[in-house]
Formats: sequence, structure tokens, C-alpha cells
Amino acid sequence: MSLQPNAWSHLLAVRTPLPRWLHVGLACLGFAGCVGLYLWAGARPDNNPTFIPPIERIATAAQTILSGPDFWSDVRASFGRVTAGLLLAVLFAVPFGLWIGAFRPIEALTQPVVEFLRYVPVPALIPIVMIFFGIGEGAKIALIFLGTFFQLALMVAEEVRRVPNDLVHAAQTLGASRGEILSLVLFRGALPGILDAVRLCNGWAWSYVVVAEMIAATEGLGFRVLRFYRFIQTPNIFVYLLVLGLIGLALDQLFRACNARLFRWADATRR
Amino acid sequence: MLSLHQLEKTFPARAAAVHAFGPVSLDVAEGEFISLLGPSGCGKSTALYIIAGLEHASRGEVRIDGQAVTGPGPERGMVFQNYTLFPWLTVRENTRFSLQLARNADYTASPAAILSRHARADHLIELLGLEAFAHHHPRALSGGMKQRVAIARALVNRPRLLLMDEPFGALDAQTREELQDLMILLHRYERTTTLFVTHDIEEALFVSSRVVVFSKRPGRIIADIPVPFSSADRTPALKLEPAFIELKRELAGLLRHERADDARRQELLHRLVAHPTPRPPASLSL
Repeated sequence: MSLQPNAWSHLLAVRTPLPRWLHVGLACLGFAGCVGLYLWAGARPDNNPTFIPPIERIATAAQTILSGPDFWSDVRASFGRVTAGLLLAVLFAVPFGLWIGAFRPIEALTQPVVEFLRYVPVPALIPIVMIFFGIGEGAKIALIFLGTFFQLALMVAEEVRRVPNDLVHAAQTLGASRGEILSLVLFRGALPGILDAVRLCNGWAWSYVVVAEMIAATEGLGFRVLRFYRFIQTPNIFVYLLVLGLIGLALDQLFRACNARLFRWADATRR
Repeated sequence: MLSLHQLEKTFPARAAAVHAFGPVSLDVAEGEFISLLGPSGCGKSTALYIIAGLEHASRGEVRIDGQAVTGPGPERGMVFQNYTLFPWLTVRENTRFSLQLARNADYTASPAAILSRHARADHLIELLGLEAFAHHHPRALSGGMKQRVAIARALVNRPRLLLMDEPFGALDAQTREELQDLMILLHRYERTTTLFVTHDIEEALFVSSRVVVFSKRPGRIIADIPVPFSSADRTPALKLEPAFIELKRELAGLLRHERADDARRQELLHRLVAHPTPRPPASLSL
């Protein structure tokens, strides 16, 4: 497939669809640009290789790290904390958000409080979490829970409110009870949006776990990055940063794929 | 079987309350197909929502088989103006939606009776020409198809009353005629008592056995006209029959009377005829 020469100028018209090959090509170009920038900065005469190590040194560091014992236990630890915190948040925030979105009195009672709580910066909660939960696993899971629960509850409520009222009316005239409207109409209708909200929260949860691990931990990706910093092992830091980015990207794509597969019925513009 | 008694609706508003319609009283007998015809904003849809139990009346009451209506229920099926199929369910699942609800479950029913309810849903899918789409999701359907599914879904439970709120308002003329024919067939077949809200005179005359005309807001019943055609007569050719056109003229006259701007329009027309706008001189057009 090729484009007519004059078609290139049309590609920048607002909301013009892009051919698949060009989309993939441009995405690769973006990554290549980053690598190029890195190489250029590293090759400058005023660069100290401790700041921007040559790519070969990062590759060697990656080899050592991936074959070492710490890496996989770090990944497992961070992954476990994110999963536990996020699952807990989903478990409580989805029903809570459903109630906020469905019942006005509950919305009036809780939404302003939740709006307030969600703007408390999560790192600022670390001291209080440590006082309550100590410095063990519980504290990190609690921090991820606190960081995502309020956001998720409000996003779920918003998705529930977006289910058209006509669908609720239709269900009522077919004989649906209040509980059936909640489960068969509001929850089902909001489900694609809820999964998308969980995807976003997953991204934030990874930020929070790294912050938590930097403060008090004996393993985990965040803990290790700080450790490398103490010994000024820049190549190792870069390896871990790449791993964190890749995990985030992979999980994000996984969520998107699930959403596309499970909710084919949903309007394409919703994704 | 359905009776509206001194029904009235006022919407409270900050500046001044809006009197939507009423008082309206109406009696509907078993098996009737009644159109509620009126100018837009006359409150006919609001009246339908009150009968469905989705809105509260400000005054008066709705009774079905002598029982006062207090909320929505499956014995009053409704087809809405907007598309209201559940987008996550296929056509077949949409038509079967009501069968899974606790309120419609009959725990004394035999397995055969339960199966026959599913068979009825499938039968309606067939009757409405939807078999080929049974496993499609609503987003793959045209507007006309969506409304067919909505009709099937509302009829599955054999409602006492079918309420239709300008169901074909968003469809193109041809699809609209198809669905009007279909409604006539369905009514002949199912004999469900139907209230059909429309602002289209021809549609009202063509599908219904009785046309109830609403005045402009606040809507009141200004005419209640029996339509003399038998269901066998109701073919597209009927719309060209003198008797049909005569009724249409009569209803159009009634509705024209309800146009708020009629006097003003007449005045403007007279003035235009008396003092025609001067045309720009021909030399200006190059």
C-alpha cells in the first residue's frame, strides 16, 4: 500500500485515519528518536560516562542483572504488591462506585469527601501509613489501596452515571427490580468503562509501589533503583527504568486487549 | 381496561411552573389501538410516561383493570422513541431480557411452560423478521431493526398494555411504512391493547382504531375520533382512499387550529401580498 504524493498533506487534516503500517512506523520512529537523542547526548565531549553510560555498558549490566538472583525476586515483590493493592481497591471501589452512581443520597453523602481524599498526594500518606501498618508488606499494599481506591470509586461512579437513563426505563418497564437494574443494567453497561478505569489505576499503582519501596523495603524494583543510586551504578538504574516502562506498557496493552475482546459490543469511540 | 381520571401534570420550575397537560380523562377498552395525536410539546409523551409509571402525575390517577398505577411494571410494555436495546446483549438476549427477571418468574411453572416462554421470544423474533440478526449486537442493526427488537422485547411477556412513544419518529419514510404495516399485522395477531403517541396524522389514522387529539400545551383532549377501517383494509392503498383523506383533512384542520403562530402567519402573508418586497434591479446581477 502506498500513498499518493499529495496524500501526505491530507494526513495532518483533523481526525484523518492513518494506515496501519504508517501508524506502526511512526511509533517505532518515536522510540528510535529517543535512542538517537541518548546516543547524541552520550557522544558529546562534555559527557561524563557515569551520567550517560554508553549503550554497551547498559547491555552488559542488563545481562548481569537478568541472570542474577535479585532481579526476579524484585519483579515478583513489586508485582505482588501492586496486584494485592489493586485487587483490594477494585473489590471495594466497584460496589462503592456503583452505589454512588446509582443512588443520589449516597452520592451527596460520600462524593465530596472522596473528592477531597483523592487529592491528598499519596506520598504524603506514607508517614501515616507507616504509623498504622509498620514497614512490612501491609504498609505498601495499604498505600496502593489508598492511592487507587478513591480515584477508582469516582471513576466507576462516573461510568455508572453515563449509562443512558432510557436503558434504566426500558428495564423498569420490563419488570426489573432495583437490584436487577443495578446488576443487569448499570453494572453491565458500565463494565467496559470500569475495566478502563482499572487500567489507569494500575498505572498509578506502579508509581506508588516504587515510591513505597524507596522509603522502606528490602526488595522490589523501587528499592533496587535507590540502592543502585547509592553506589552510583547508572547503567543498572537505566536497566530497571527500562523494565518498569516495559511492564507498564505490557500491562496497559493487556488491559486494552481484554477490553477490546470482552466488550466488542461497546462503541469503538469509548475505548 | 385502562382509565385515566382527571390526569394532570405540572413541572415545577424556578420562574413559573410549566403546566404540561390535563386534566385529561380517557377510557380504553380491551384490544383497542389508540393513537395520541398532538402538536409537539403538548404533553402526550408525558402522559404515556405517567401511564408507564416512569413519571408521577401531579393530580388524578391511572387505573389498569381497576388497579391504580404506582410505578413501572411488566404488564405495561413500552417502546421508546430513542433506541433502548441493551448494547451488550444480542438481539435474542434482548428479547429474552424480561424472562430472567425475578418478578416475571413463575416458580410454579412447569419446565415446559418456561421453555414455551423462550419459544415465544424466538417466535416473535421470527414474526418481526429478525432471525438473521438473532446473534448480532444492536450496534450492527439499522434503526428500523432496533425498533423491531424493542417491540419484540416489550411483547414477550404478553403485556396488558403496549405503550409506544413516537417509536418510528427517527426512521426514514420507507422504514416507517414497513413498521406501520408490521404494527397492523402484530395487532391483528396479538390483540395487545396499544397506546401509540405520534405527531404524524397519517400514521395515527393508518395504524389505530381510534385517534385521540391533544390540544397545544397544556394538552387537553379536543377530539376522540373512531377510525372506521378494518384491519384488512389497512394496506398502503388505503392512504389514497377518499374516506381516509377526508379524515386526514379533518384532523389536519383540528391540529392547524392548535398552531400558536397561525394568526401571526396569516397577518404576515397578507402584508407580503399587499406590499411585495422590491426585487434588486436586474443590472446588479452580472
